[in-house]
Amino acid sequence: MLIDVNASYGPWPFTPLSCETLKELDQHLAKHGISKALVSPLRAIFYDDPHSTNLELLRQSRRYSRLVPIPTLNPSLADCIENLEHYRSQYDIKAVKLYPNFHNYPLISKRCSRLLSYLEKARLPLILNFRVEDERHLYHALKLKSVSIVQTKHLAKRYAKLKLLCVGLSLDEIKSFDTSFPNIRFDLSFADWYRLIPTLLEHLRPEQLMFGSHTPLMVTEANIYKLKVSPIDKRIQQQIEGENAQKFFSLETLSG
Amino acid sequence: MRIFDVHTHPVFFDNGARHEDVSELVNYAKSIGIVKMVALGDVLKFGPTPDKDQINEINETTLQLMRWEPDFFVGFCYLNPTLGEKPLRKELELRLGQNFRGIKLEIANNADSPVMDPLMKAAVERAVPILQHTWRTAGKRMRKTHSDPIDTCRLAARYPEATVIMAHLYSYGVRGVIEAKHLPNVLVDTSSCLPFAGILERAVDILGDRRILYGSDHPIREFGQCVGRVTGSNIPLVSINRILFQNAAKLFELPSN
Repeated sequence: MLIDVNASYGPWPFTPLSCETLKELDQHLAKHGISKALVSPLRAIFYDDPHSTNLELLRQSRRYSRLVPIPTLNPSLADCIENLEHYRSQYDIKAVKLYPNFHNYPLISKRCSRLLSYLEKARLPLILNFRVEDERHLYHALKLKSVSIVQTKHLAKRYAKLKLLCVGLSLDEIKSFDTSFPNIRFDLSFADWYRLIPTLLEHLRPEQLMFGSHTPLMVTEANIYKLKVSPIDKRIQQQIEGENAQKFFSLETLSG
Repeated sequence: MRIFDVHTHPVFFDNGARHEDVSELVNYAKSIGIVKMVALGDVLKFGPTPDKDQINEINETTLQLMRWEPDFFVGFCYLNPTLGEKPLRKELELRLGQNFRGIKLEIANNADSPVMDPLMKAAVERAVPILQHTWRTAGKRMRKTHSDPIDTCRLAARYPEATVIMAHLYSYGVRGVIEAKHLPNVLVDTSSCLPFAGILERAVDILGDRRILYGSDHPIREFGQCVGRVTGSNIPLVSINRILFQNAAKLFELPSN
């Protein structure tokens, strides 16, 4: 059972990618044995208001039992929570996603705090994207810093019951969270080092790690194979492959 | 699936290269199909410009690996071109006599610097490949010592008889591949960085599948991720096999089947 907590679809302005449509993404993930994938639209990163892309995602993803639609929110927009409530009234929303560096707001802003309070109260998980590309190799006209680790730690303490998955962190960034933040989860798409997972398990509990492929920006098989050949206990591997995500996001019966 | 990894630094950093750690690494690598590994040394152990004694110490560590696992490790001699011709030649001759098979260059100087000339002449004379660290540095101050693909390819153009392995395809991406397009003596390795999609496909499209070598940059990168970025790319199986093993086998004159 492979559950991918970090997948996207749509065009990327700086390079041609596969999986521009949900159909293409569904077929691609099936080919790689991924049973479920949490999916967000790449267009939502660049649009000034992600609402229209969220509606498109929510409508179209109904055709694909493998794909779990994750709306992208921009809390700096006044109607962010209003839109979220609309999504929740019409669809089974398992989580929401933020891209603070693309949408240009600090995590400690008032409007972001308002959203985080809402999510905490609603027990709705938040997926916090730290980066989409390696900052060292960004397209020259796109200069972004990753999301602040310090601010993330601050909000994790302030919203202690918030269900938070951080995606796109490096090994050192994940390690920096250590045991003081047992409730935060991490995907492994940007984390890399010899004996990566055994090293992470010296700092974190197995429940905190999840498989994320970062498809279609990354080669899907790279992150699958990284996990598959990792020298770890099979039981822990199964947790990271899917069980942790299934529990954390309350995902239902899996399709093939 | 057989794999020849042309870009590794089996150094274990603070722990040093202990035999038990090296054996564990070799067994793990073999378990996923890696049958040969080029060991390049702990090249930044003493900073970007090591002196001749420090160079000697780094290469001694590589020699130790070769002695522990002679059928697995292929040693490359690490050199600092800024030290001048005499110490460079002395170290190179010593290591070639110990069956080292190539030269590793890091960030002591830019590859396009005239300081490279004695080294390149020696490499051509002794017919050994040069693996040059190359990064996306155009427009950055670091380019003074961190070679951009433009620099590495200028070097290769000045010495067409030399074989230059331009490291780190996933750093310089398509721009670097285009620089190398018309330089048949330039090979690229797939080491380091993260497995972003589409890069290998473009490299095969531009260079063909015989000028690309698999590399990981171990221990900075996990083997599984590095192998998966090749096997999971949208290129023919015959190209995957060339990149993972056959091209390196040909370079080092090993049986490729």
